[in-house]
Amino acid sequence: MKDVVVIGGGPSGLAVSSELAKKGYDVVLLERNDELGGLLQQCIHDGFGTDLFGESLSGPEFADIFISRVRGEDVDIKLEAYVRSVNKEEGLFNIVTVTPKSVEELEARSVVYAIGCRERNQFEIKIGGTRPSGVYTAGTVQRLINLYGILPGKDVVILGGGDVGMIVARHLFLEGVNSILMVYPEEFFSGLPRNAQQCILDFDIPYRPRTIVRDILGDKKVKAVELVDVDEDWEPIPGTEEIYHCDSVILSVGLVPYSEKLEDLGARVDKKTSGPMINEYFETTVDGAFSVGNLIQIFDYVDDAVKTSFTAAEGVERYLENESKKDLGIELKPGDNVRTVTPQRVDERTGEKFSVFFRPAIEKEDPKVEVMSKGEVLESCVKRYVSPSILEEISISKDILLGEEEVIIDVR
Amino acid sequence: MSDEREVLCIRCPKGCRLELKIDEEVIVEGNQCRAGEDHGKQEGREPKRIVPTTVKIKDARWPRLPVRTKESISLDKVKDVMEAVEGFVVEAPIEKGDVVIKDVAGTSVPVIAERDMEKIR
Repeated sequence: MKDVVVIGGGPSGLAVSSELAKKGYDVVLLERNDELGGLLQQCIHDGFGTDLFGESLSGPEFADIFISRVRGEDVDIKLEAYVRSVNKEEGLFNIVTVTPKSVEELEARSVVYAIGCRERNQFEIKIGGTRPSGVYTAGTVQRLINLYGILPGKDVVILGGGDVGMIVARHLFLEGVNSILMVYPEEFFSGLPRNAQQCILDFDIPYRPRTIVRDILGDKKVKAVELVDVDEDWEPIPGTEEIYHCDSVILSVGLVPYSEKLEDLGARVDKKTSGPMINEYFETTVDGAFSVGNLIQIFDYVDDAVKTSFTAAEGVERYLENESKKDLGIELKPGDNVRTVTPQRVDERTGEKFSVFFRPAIEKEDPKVEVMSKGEVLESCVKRYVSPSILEEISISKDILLGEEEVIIDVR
Repeated sequence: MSDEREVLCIRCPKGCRLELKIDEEVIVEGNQCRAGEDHGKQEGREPKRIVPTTVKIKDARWPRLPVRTKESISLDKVKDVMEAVEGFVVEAPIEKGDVVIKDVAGTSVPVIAERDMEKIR
Protein backbone atom coordinates (compact mmCIF):
# COMPACT_ATOMS: atom_id res chain seq x y z
CA MET A 1 0.00 0.00 0.00
CA LYS A 2 1.40 3.35 -1.11
CA ASP A 3 0.55 6.72 0.40
CA VAL A 4 0.45 8.56 -2.93
CA VAL A 5 0.66 7.72 -6.59
CA VAL A 6 1.55 10.70 -8.80
CA ILE A 7 0.65 10.35 -12.47
CA GLY A 8 2.85 12.38 -14.82
CA GLY A 9 6.56 13.24 -14.62
CA GLY A 10 6.42 16.79 -15.98
CA PRO A 11 7.35 19.78 -13.82
CA SER A 12 4.18 19.76 -11.70
CA GLY A 13 4.28 16.00 -11.11
CA LEU A 14 7.96 16.17 -10.20
CA ALA A 15 7.38 19.03 -7.78
CA VAL A 16 4.47 17.37 -5.99
CA SER A 17 6.37 14.05 -5.76
CA SER A 18 9.43 15.56 -4.13
CA GLU A 19 7.36 17.70 -1.74
CA LEU A 20 5.40 14.67 -0.56
CA ALA A 21 8.48 12.45 -0.25
CA LYS A 22 10.11 15.22 1.79
CA LYS A 23 7.14 15.08 4.16
CA GLY A 24 7.93 11.39 4.66
CA TYR A 25 5.27 9.77 2.49
CA ASP A 26 5.71 6.68 0.36
CA VAL A 27 5.43 8.12 -3.19
CA VAL A 28 5.30 6.39 -6.57
CA LEU A 29 5.77 8.56 -9.67
CA LEU A 30 4.44 7.14 -12.94
CA GLU A 31 5.69 8.54 -16.26
CA ARG A 32 4.67 7.14 -19.64
CA ASN A 33 7.80 8.41 -21.43
CA ASP A 34 11.27 6.98 -20.91
CA GLU A 35 12.59 10.19 -19.37
CA LEU A 36 11.35 12.75 -16.86
CA GLY A 37 10.70 16.44 -17.49
CA GLY A 38 7.62 16.29 -19.68
CA LEU A 39 7.08 18.93 -22.30
CA LEU A 40 9.87 21.12 -20.92
CA GLN A 41 12.46 18.92 -22.62
CA GLN A 42 11.37 20.36 -25.95
CA CYS A 43 10.98 23.96 -24.70
CA ILE A 44 14.61 24.90 -25.24
CA HIS A 45 14.07 28.67 -25.15
CA ASP A 46 14.71 30.67 -21.98
CA GLY A 47 12.23 32.47 -19.75
CA PHE A 48 11.39 29.76 -17.21
CA GLY A 49 12.03 30.18 -13.51
CA THR A 50 12.15 33.97 -13.20
CA ASP A 51 9.56 33.86 -10.44
CA LEU A 52 10.71 30.78 -8.50
CA PHE A 53 14.46 31.10 -8.97
CA GLY A 54 15.04 34.70 -10.01
CA GLU A 55 16.80 33.71 -13.22
CA SER A 56 15.78 32.97 -16.76
CA LEU A 57 16.29 29.26 -17.44
CA SER A 58 15.58 27.07 -20.45
CA GLY A 59 12.93 24.34 -20.20
CA PRO A 60 15.42 21.48 -19.78
CA GLU A 61 17.33 23.49 -17.14
CA PHE A 62 14.14 24.22 -15.21
CA ALA A 63 13.08 20.55 -15.45
CA ASP A 64 16.49 19.42 -14.24
CA ILE A 65 16.06 21.26 -10.93
CA PHE A 66 12.92 19.27 -10.19
CA ILE A 67 14.31 16.01 -11.57
CA SER A 68 17.23 16.39 -9.13
CA ARG A 69 14.83 17.06 -6.27
CA VAL A 70 12.88 13.89 -7.01
CA ARG A 71 16.07 11.86 -7.36
CA GLY A 72 17.31 13.33 -4.07
CA GLU A 73 14.23 12.08 -2.24
CA ASP A 74 13.01 8.54 -1.78
CA VAL A 75 10.54 8.52 -4.69
CA ASP A 76 9.82 5.28 -6.52
CA ILE A 77 10.07 6.44 -10.15
CA LYS A 78 8.54 4.21 -12.81
CA LEU A 79 9.33 5.19 -16.39
CA GLU A 80 7.51 3.88 -19.46
CA ALA A 81 4.53 3.26 -17.22
CA TYR A 82 1.24 4.08 -18.89
CA VAL A 83 -1.79 4.28 -16.62
CA ARG A 84 -4.47 2.01 -18.00
CA SER A 85 -7.09 2.67 -15.35
CA VAL A 86 -7.72 4.12 -11.91
CA ASN A 87 -10.57 2.96 -9.71
CA LYS A 88 -11.61 3.89 -6.22
CA GLU A 89 -12.97 1.19 -3.97
CA GLU A 90 -13.62 1.42 -0.26
CA GLY A 91 -11.60 4.59 0.03
CA LEU A 92 -8.52 3.23 -1.76
CA PHE A 93 -7.25 3.79 -5.27
CA ASN A 94 -6.43 0.87 -7.52
CA ILE A 95 -4.11 1.85 -10.38
CA VAL A 96 -3.35 -0.44 -13.31
CA THR A 97 -0.21 0.42 -15.30
CA VAL A 98 1.11 -1.02 -18.53
CA THR A 99 4.88 -1.09 -19.07
CA PRO A 100 6.82 -2.66 -21.96
CA LYS A 101 7.42 -5.64 -19.67
CA SER A 102 4.23 -6.16 -17.73
CA VAL A 103 0.87 -5.07 -16.46
CA GLU A 104 1.07 -4.01 -12.84
CA GLU A 105 -1.38 -3.09 -10.15
CA LEU A 106 -0.79 -0.54 -7.42
CA GLU A 107 -2.84 0.35 -4.39
CA ALA A 108 -2.69 3.82 -2.91
CA ARG A 109 -4.45 5.96 -0.35
CA SER A 110 -4.37 9.01 -2.59
CA VAL A 111 -3.58 9.93 -6.17
CA VAL A 112 -2.31 13.12 -7.82
CA TYR A 113 -3.02 13.69 -11.51
CA ALA A 114 -0.32 15.77 -13.17
CA ILE A 115 -1.03 14.83 -16.76
CA GLY A 116 -1.11 18.30 -18.26
CA CYS A 117 -2.85 19.29 -21.43
CA ARG A 118 -3.03 18.49 -25.13
CA GLU A 119 -3.07 20.65 -28.23
CA ARG A 120 -6.26 21.38 -30.08
CA ASN A 121 -6.13 19.95 -33.58
CA GLN A 122 -7.48 20.79 -37.03
CA PHE A 123 -10.64 18.79 -36.50
CA GLU A 124 -11.64 20.92 -33.51
CA ILE A 125 -11.62 24.20 -35.42
CA LYS A 126 -13.54 25.14 -38.53
CA ILE A 127 -11.00 24.56 -41.25
CA GLY A 128 -11.94 23.20 -44.64
CA GLY A 129 -10.36 21.85 -47.76
CA THR A 130 -8.65 18.56 -48.46
CA ARG A 131 -6.57 16.59 -45.99
CA PRO A 132 -3.05 16.62 -47.40
CA SER A 133 0.09 15.84 -45.41
CA GLY A 134 2.03 18.81 -44.09
CA VAL A 135 -0.41 19.93 -41.39
CA TYR A 136 1.08 19.93 -37.90
CA THR A 137 0.33 21.19 -34.43
CA ALA A 138 2.86 23.69 -33.07
CA GLY A 139 3.96 21.36 -30.27
CA THR A 140 4.71 18.59 -32.74
CA VAL A 141 6.87 20.96 -34.79
CA GLN A 142 8.68 22.12 -31.65
CA ARG A 143 9.43 18.48 -30.86
CA LEU A 144 10.58 17.72 -34.43
CA ILE A 145 12.95 20.70 -34.50
CA ASN A 146 14.37 20.56 -31.00
CA LEU A 147 14.69 16.84 -30.38
CA TYR A 148 15.12 15.48 -33.91
CA GLY A 149 16.48 18.44 -35.88
CA ILE A 150 13.79 18.12 -38.53
CA LEU A 151 12.03 21.11 -40.14
CA PRO A 152 8.42 20.58 -41.25
CA GLY A 153 8.79 22.45 -44.53
CA LYS A 154 10.25 25.49 -46.23
CA ASP A 155 7.31 27.82 -46.64
CA VAL A 156 5.23 27.80 -43.55
CA VAL A 157 1.91 29.27 -42.52
CA ILE A 158 1.20 29.36 -38.80
CA LEU A 159 -2.43 29.66 -37.77
CA GLY A 160 -2.94 31.13 -34.31
CA GLY A 161 -1.11 33.82 -32.39
CA GLY A 162 -0.57 31.92 -29.15
CA ASP A 163 2.66 31.35 -27.27
CA VAL A 164 3.62 27.98 -28.73
CA GLY A 165 3.04 29.28 -32.27
CA MET A 166 5.19 32.34 -31.68
CA ILE A 167 8.00 30.35 -30.10
CA VAL A 168 7.92 27.87 -32.97
CA ALA A 169 7.94 30.76 -35.48
CA ARG A 170 11.22 31.95 -33.97
CA HIS A 171 12.76 28.46 -34.10
CA LEU A 172 11.71 28.15 -37.76
CA PHE A 173 13.11 31.57 -38.58
CA LEU A 174 16.42 30.91 -36.83
CA GLU A 175 16.78 27.44 -38.32
CA GLY A 176 16.44 29.03 -41.73
CA VAL A 177 13.13 28.27 -43.44
CA ASN A 178 12.32 30.23 -46.60
CA SER A 179 9.19 32.03 -45.49
CA ILE A 180 6.87 32.27 -42.51
CA LEU A 181 3.49 33.92 -42.31
CA MET A 182 1.59 33.99 -39.06
CA VAL A 183 -2.15 34.62 -39.17
CA TYR A 184 -4.68 34.89 -36.35
CA PRO A 185 -8.23 36.21 -35.92
CA GLU A 186 -7.53 38.47 -32.93
CA GLU A 187 -6.48 42.11 -33.08
CA PHE A 188 -3.07 41.25 -31.64
CA PHE A 189 -1.17 38.09 -30.69
CA SER A 190 -3.10 36.16 -28.05
CA GLY A 191 0.02 34.88 -26.31
CA LEU A 192 2.25 36.71 -23.87
CA PRO A 193 3.50 40.15 -24.96
CA ARG A 194 7.10 39.17 -24.28
CA ASN A 195 6.82 36.37 -26.82
CA ALA A 196 5.36 38.75 -29.40
CA GLN A 197 8.41 40.95 -28.84
CA GLN A 198 11.22 38.42 -28.73
CA CYS A 199 9.85 35.84 -31.16
CA ILE A 200 8.06 37.88 -33.84
CA LEU A 201 8.83 41.61 -33.64
CA ASP A 202 12.57 41.09 -33.01
CA PHE A 203 12.96 39.32 -36.36
CA ASP A 204 10.26 41.10 -38.37
CA ILE A 205 8.46 37.84 -38.99
CA PRO A 206 5.39 38.69 -41.11
CA TYR A 207 2.01 38.42 -39.40
CA ARG A 208 -1.59 39.21 -40.28
CA PRO A 209 -4.13 39.92 -37.54
CA ARG A 210 -7.85 39.44 -38.24
CA THR A 211 -7.08 36.68 -40.71
CA ILE A 212 -7.84 32.97 -40.67
CA VAL A 213 -7.07 29.94 -42.80
CA ARG A 214 -10.38 28.94 -44.35
CA ASP A 215 -9.20 26.03 -46.47
CA ILE A 216 -6.08 23.94 -46.69
CA LEU A 217 -5.40 23.12 -50.33
CA GLY A 218 -3.35 20.33 -51.88
CA ASP A 219 -3.73 16.84 -53.17
CA LYS A 220 -1.22 14.68 -51.32
CA LYS A 221 0.84 17.50 -49.85
CA VAL A 222 -0.07 21.00 -48.77
CA LYS A 223 0.21 23.38 -51.74
CA ALA A 224 -1.52 26.48 -50.46
CA VAL A 225 -4.04 27.86 -48.02
CA GLU A 226 -7.02 30.07 -48.63
CA LEU A 227 -6.75 33.04 -46.30
CA VAL A 228 -9.69 35.26 -45.52
CA ASP A 229 -9.98 38.42 -43.43
CA VAL A 230 -12.36 38.36 -40.49
CA ASP A 231 -14.25 41.07 -38.62
CA GLU A 232 -14.25 41.70 -34.89
CA ASP A 233 -16.57 38.74 -34.34
CA TRP A 234 -14.21 36.54 -36.35
CA GLU A 235 -16.75 36.35 -39.20
CA PRO A 236 -15.14 36.06 -42.66
CA ILE A 237 -15.44 39.17 -44.82
CA PRO A 238 -16.63 38.19 -48.33
CA GLY A 239 -14.33 39.24 -51.15
CA THR A 240 -11.14 39.14 -49.07
CA GLU A 241 -10.24 35.54 -49.97
CA GLU A 242 -6.67 35.03 -51.07
CA ILE A 243 -4.70 31.96 -52.13
CA TYR A 244 -1.33 31.85 -50.37
CA HIS A 245 1.27 29.26 -51.39
CA CYS A 246 3.01 27.22 -48.72
CA ASP A 247 4.17 23.65 -48.10
CA SER A 248 3.14 23.29 -44.50
CA VAL A 249 0.54 24.56 -42.08
CA ILE A 250 1.18 24.75 -38.35
CA LEU A 251 -1.73 25.05 -35.97
CA SER A 252 -1.29 26.90 -32.73
CA VAL A 253 -4.93 27.02 -31.75
CA GLY A 254 -4.91 26.42 -28.05
CA LEU A 255 -4.31 23.85 -25.36
CA VAL A 256 -6.92 21.83 -23.50
CA PRO A 257 -6.48 20.18 -20.09
CA TYR A 258 -6.37 16.43 -20.46
CA SER A 259 -9.17 15.77 -18.01
CA GLU A 260 -10.86 12.73 -19.59
CA LYS A 261 -8.97 10.37 -17.26
CA LEU A 262 -10.24 12.14 -14.17
CA GLU A 263 -13.75 12.13 -15.59
CA ASP A 264 -13.50 8.34 -15.86
CA LEU A 265 -12.84 8.29 -12.14
CA GLY A 266 -16.01 10.32 -11.58
CA ALA A 267 -14.50 13.78 -11.07
CA ARG A 268 -16.55 16.76 -12.20
CA VAL A 269 -15.11 18.95 -14.94
CA ASP A 270 -15.47 22.73 -15.26
CA LYS A 271 -16.79 23.52 -18.74
CA LYS A 272 -14.97 26.85 -18.76
CA THR A 273 -11.46 25.65 -17.90
CA SER A 274 -12.04 22.12 -19.31
CA GLY A 275 -10.08 21.00 -16.24
CA PRO A 276 -11.37 19.20 -13.16
CA MET A 277 -13.18 21.25 -10.53
CA ILE A 278 -10.91 21.66 -7.55
CA ASN A 279 -10.95 23.14 -4.07
CA GLU A 280 -8.36 25.43 -2.50
CA TYR A 281 -6.09 22.42 -1.82
CA PHE A 282 -6.42 21.18 -5.41
CA GLU A 283 -8.57 18.22 -4.46
CA THR A 284 -11.06 17.21 -7.17
CA THR A 285 -14.66 16.24 -6.42
CA VAL A 286 -13.39 12.70 -5.79
CA ASP A 287 -12.02 12.59 -2.23
CA GLY A 288 -8.30 11.82 -2.20
CA ALA A 289 -7.82 12.53 -5.93
CA PHE A 290 -5.85 15.72 -6.53
CA SER A 291 -4.89 17.60 -9.65
CA VAL A 292 -1.96 19.95 -10.36
CA GLY A 293 -0.38 22.03 -13.14
CA ASN A 294 -1.79 22.52 -16.62
CA LEU A 295 -4.41 19.87 -16.05
CA ILE A 296 -6.30 22.41 -13.92
CA GLN A 297 -6.18 25.12 -16.55
CA ILE A 298 -3.59 26.43 -18.97
CA PHE A 299 -1.07 28.47 -17.02
CA ASP A 300 0.93 31.13 -18.87
CA TYR A 301 3.93 30.36 -16.87
CA VAL A 302 5.49 27.11 -15.65
CA ASP A 303 6.43 28.75 -12.34
CA ASP A 304 2.73 29.24 -11.57
CA ALA A 305 1.87 25.71 -12.70
CA VAL A 306 4.53 24.29 -10.40
CA LYS A 307 3.38 26.43 -7.46
CA THR A 308 0.06 24.54 -7.55
CA SER A 309 2.07 21.46 -6.57
CA PHE A 310 3.25 23.00 -3.31
CA THR A 311 -0.32 23.74 -2.20
CA ALA A 312 -1.56 20.37 -3.47
CA ALA A 313 1.15 18.61 -1.43
CA GLU A 314 -0.27 20.31 1.68
CA GLY A 315 -3.72 19.13 0.65
CA VAL A 316 -2.57 15.54 0.19
CA GLU A 317 -0.89 15.67 3.59
CA ARG A 318 -4.10 16.93 5.22
CA TYR A 319 -6.06 14.18 3.48
CA LEU A 320 -3.65 11.44 4.52
CA GLU A 321 -3.62 12.66 8.12
CA ASN A 322 -7.45 12.86 8.16
CA GLU A 323 -7.22 16.55 8.90
CA SER A 324 -9.43 17.86 6.12
CA LYS A 325 -12.87 19.01 7.21
CA LYS A 326 -14.89 20.05 4.20
CA ASP A 327 -17.73 21.99 5.75
CA LEU A 328 -17.77 25.25 3.76
CA GLY A 329 -18.73 24.31 0.21
CA ILE A 330 -18.47 27.86 -1.14
CA GLU A 331 -18.56 28.06 -4.92
CA LEU A 332 -16.29 30.48 -6.78
CA LYS A 333 -17.57 31.62 -10.17
CA PRO A 334 -16.45 34.00 -12.93
CA GLY A 335 -18.37 37.24 -13.44
CA ASP A 336 -19.31 38.70 -16.84
CA ASN A 337 -15.83 40.07 -17.53
CA VAL A 338 -13.96 36.97 -16.45
CA ARG A 339 -13.59 33.72 -18.39
CA THR A 340 -12.35 31.25 -15.80
CA VAL A 341 -11.78 30.99 -12.06
CA THR A 342 -9.81 28.38 -10.13
CA PRO A 343 -10.26 26.94 -7.58
CA GLN A 344 -13.96 26.46 -8.21
CA ARG A 345 -14.79 25.95 -4.54
CA VAL A 346 -13.54 26.56 -1.03
CA ASP A 347 -14.06 23.63 1.31
CA GLU A 348 -12.11 24.19 4.46
CA ARG A 349 -11.89 26.80 7.20
CA THR A 350 -8.21 26.19 7.84
CA GLY A 351 -5.64 28.47 6.25
CA GLU A 352 -5.95 32.23 6.33
CA LYS A 353 -5.49 33.05 2.69
CA PHE A 354 -5.54 31.21 -0.60
CA SER A 355 -4.68 32.00 -4.20
CA VAL A 356 -7.28 32.43 -6.91
CA PHE A 357 -6.30 32.41 -10.56
CA PHE A 358 -8.63 34.01 -13.07
CA ARG A 359 -8.46 34.80 -16.75
CA PRO A 360 -10.05 38.14 -17.68
CA ALA A 361 -12.40 38.24 -20.67
CA ILE A 362 -11.62 41.90 -21.38
CA GLU A 363 -8.67 44.19 -21.81
CA LYS A 364 -8.64 47.16 -19.43
CA GLU A 365 -6.30 49.70 -17.82
CA ASP A 366 -6.51 50.24 -14.04
CA PRO A 367 -9.43 47.83 -13.53
CA LYS A 368 -10.93 46.94 -10.18
CA VAL A 369 -11.01 43.25 -9.30
CA GLU A 370 -14.03 42.51 -7.13
CA VAL A 371 -14.91 39.54 -4.97
CA MET A 372 -18.71 39.63 -4.67
CA SER A 373 -21.60 37.78 -3.13
CA LYS A 374 -25.31 38.52 -3.63
CA GLY A 375 -24.43 41.76 -5.38
CA GLU A 376 -22.26 42.99 -2.52
CA VAL A 377 -18.52 43.58 -2.80
CA LEU A 378 -16.66 41.59 -0.14
CA GLU A 379 -13.16 42.64 -1.17
CA SER A 380 -11.59 44.49 -4.05
CA CYS A 381 -8.21 45.46 -5.40
CA VAL A 382 -6.86 47.47 -8.32
CA LYS A 383 -4.65 46.08 -11.07
CA ARG A 384 -2.67 48.23 -13.47
CA TYR A 385 -3.75 46.38 -16.59
CA VAL A 386 -5.58 43.16 -17.41
CA SER A 387 -6.06 41.30 -20.68
CA PRO A 388 -7.23 37.84 -21.76
CA SER A 389 -3.58 37.04 -22.61
CA ILE A 390 -2.52 37.21 -19.00
CA LEU A 391 -3.73 34.89 -16.26
CA GLU A 392 -4.22 36.89 -13.05
CA GLU A 393 -3.69 35.81 -9.47
CA ILE A 394 -5.22 37.31 -6.35
CA SER A 395 -5.04 36.30 -2.74
CA ILE A 396 -8.34 36.04 -0.83
CA SER A 397 -8.77 35.90 2.95
CA LYS A 398 -11.01 33.05 3.99
CA ASP A 399 -12.71 34.93 6.79
CA ILE A 400 -14.47 37.30 4.36
CA LEU A 401 -16.09 34.29 2.65
CA LEU A 402 -17.56 32.63 5.72
CA GLY A 403 -21.31 32.27 5.49
CA GLU A 404 -21.42 32.83 1.72
CA GLU A 405 -22.60 30.20 -0.75
CA GLU A 406 -21.64 31.57 -4.11
CA VAL A 407 -18.86 34.07 -4.67
CA ILE A 408 -18.27 35.88 -7.97
CA ILE A 409 -14.88 37.14 -9.15
CA ASP A 410 -15.21 39.99 -11.64
CA VAL A 411 -13.28 42.82 -13.28
CA ARG A 412 -14.72 46.31 -13.75
CA MET B 1 18.94 63.57 -32.06
CA SER B 2 16.50 61.78 -29.88
CA ASP B 3 14.66 58.69 -30.93
CA GLU B 4 11.43 57.28 -29.52
CA ARG B 5 10.51 53.65 -29.52
CA GLU B 6 7.99 51.31 -27.95
CA VAL B 7 8.95 47.78 -26.95
CA LEU B 8 7.26 45.07 -24.94
CA CYS B 9 9.21 44.09 -21.86
CA ILE B 10 10.44 40.48 -21.94
CA ARG B 11 11.66 40.19 -18.37
CA CYS B 12 8.51 38.53 -17.05
CA PRO B 13 5.10 37.39 -18.36
CA LYS B 14 3.43 40.72 -17.60
CA GLY B 15 4.98 42.19 -20.74
CA CYS B 16 4.80 45.90 -19.85
CA ARG B 17 4.72 48.32 -22.76
CA LEU B 18 7.89 50.33 -22.38
CA GLU B 19 8.22 53.71 -24.00
CA LEU B 20 11.83 54.56 -24.68
CA LYS B 21 13.21 58.04 -25.26
CA ILE B 22 16.67 57.47 -26.62
CA ASP B 23 19.10 60.36 -26.36
CA GLU B 24 22.51 60.28 -24.79
CA GLU B 25 20.67 58.57 -21.99
CA VAL B 26 17.69 56.26 -22.34
CA ILE B 27 14.56 57.29 -20.46
CA VAL B 28 12.11 54.45 -19.78
CA GLU B 29 8.42 54.89 -19.08
CA GLY B 30 5.65 52.34 -18.61
CA ASN B 31 7.73 49.90 -16.58
CA GLN B 32 6.39 48.53 -13.30
CA CYS B 33 9.60 47.37 -11.75
CA ARG B 34 13.33 47.86 -11.63
CA ALA B 35 14.00 44.98 -14.02
CA GLY B 36 11.76 46.72 -16.55
CA GLU B 37 13.77 49.91 -16.30
CA ASP B 38 17.04 48.02 -16.72
CA HIS B 39 15.60 46.16 -19.67
CA GLY B 40 14.32 49.35 -21.30
CA LYS B 41 17.70 51.02 -20.96
CA GLN B 42 19.42 48.01 -22.46
CA GLU B 43 16.88 47.88 -25.31
CA GLY B 44 17.53 51.53 -26.05
CA ARG B 45 21.29 51.08 -26.18
CA GLU B 46 21.73 47.58 -27.53
CA PRO B 47 18.98 44.92 -27.53
CA LYS B 48 20.38 41.62 -26.29
CA ARG B 49 18.94 38.10 -26.34
CA ILE B 50 19.75 34.57 -25.24
CA VAL B 51 19.93 32.38 -28.37
CA PRO B 52 18.50 28.85 -28.00
CA THR B 53 19.16 26.22 -30.64
CA THR B 54 20.32 22.63 -31.01
CA VAL B 55 23.43 20.82 -32.23
CA LYS B 56 23.77 17.28 -33.55
CA ILE B 57 24.75 14.75 -30.92
CA LYS B 58 26.12 11.25 -31.52
CA ASP B 59 25.30 8.15 -29.48
CA ALA B 60 22.57 9.82 -27.44
CA ARG B 61 18.87 9.20 -26.86
CA TRP B 62 17.90 12.11 -29.12
CA PRO B 63 19.54 13.20 -32.38
CA ARG B 64 19.80 16.77 -31.05
CA LEU B 65 21.20 18.40 -27.95
CA PRO B 66 19.60 21.70 -26.84
CA VAL B 67 22.18 24.45 -26.36
CA ARG B 68 22.08 28.18 -25.73
CA THR B 69 24.35 31.17 -25.39
CA LYS B 70 25.43 31.35 -21.76
CA GLU B 71 24.64 35.05 -21.65
CA SER B 72 22.54 37.25 -23.85
CA ILE B 73 24.20 38.55 -26.99
CA SER B 74 23.48 41.46 -29.28
CA LEU B 75 20.28 40.96 -31.29
CA ASP B 76 22.22 41.88 -34.45
CA LYS B 77 24.51 38.92 -33.85
CA VAL B 78 21.78 36.28 -33.53
CA LYS B 79 22.02 35.17 -37.16
CA ASP B 80 25.84 34.96 -36.93
CA VAL B 81 25.52 32.74 -33.88
CA MET B 82 23.08 30.48 -35.69
CA GLU B 83 25.47 30.16 -38.63
CA ALA B 84 28.42 29.39 -36.35
CA VAL B 85 26.47 26.66 -34.56
CA GLU B 86 25.13 25.09 -37.74
CA GLY B 87 26.84 21.83 -38.61
CA PHE B 88 28.38 21.49 -35.16
CA VAL B 89 28.45 17.92 -33.85
CA VAL B 90 29.10 16.73 -30.29
CA GLU B 91 29.39 13.27 -28.79
CA ALA B 92 27.56 11.89 -25.78
CA PRO B 93 27.95 11.89 -22.84
CA ILE B 94 27.25 15.57 -22.25
CA GLU B 95 26.51 17.25 -18.97
CA LYS B 96 24.33 20.27 -18.41
CA GLY B 97 26.44 23.42 -18.56
CA ASP B 98 29.22 21.83 -20.66
CA VAL B 99 30.77 24.37 -23.00
CA VAL B 100 30.03 23.32 -26.57
CA ILE B 101 31.61 26.35 -28.29
CA LYS B 102 33.99 28.58 -26.34
CA ASP B 103 33.50 31.90 -28.08
CA VAL B 104 30.67 31.91 -30.55
CA ALA B 105 30.83 34.20 -33.59
CA GLY B 106 33.28 36.60 -31.94
CA THR B 107 30.85 37.51 -29.15
CA SER B 108 33.20 36.13 -26.46
CA VAL B 109 30.14 34.33 -25.09
CA PRO B 110 30.18 30.53 -24.88
CA VAL B 111 27.45 28.18 -26.08
CA ILE B 112 26.50 25.70 -23.35
CA ALA B 113 24.52 22.46 -23.14
CA GLU B 114 21.06 22.87 -21.59
CA ARG B 115 20.82 19.31 -20.28
CA ASP B 116 22.62 16.06 -19.57
CA MET B 117 22.58 13.51 -22.34
CA GLU B 118 24.03 10.13 -21.56
CA LYS B 119 25.78 7.80 -23.98
CA ILE B 120 23.46 5.04 -25.09
CA ARG B 121 25.41 2.93 -27.57
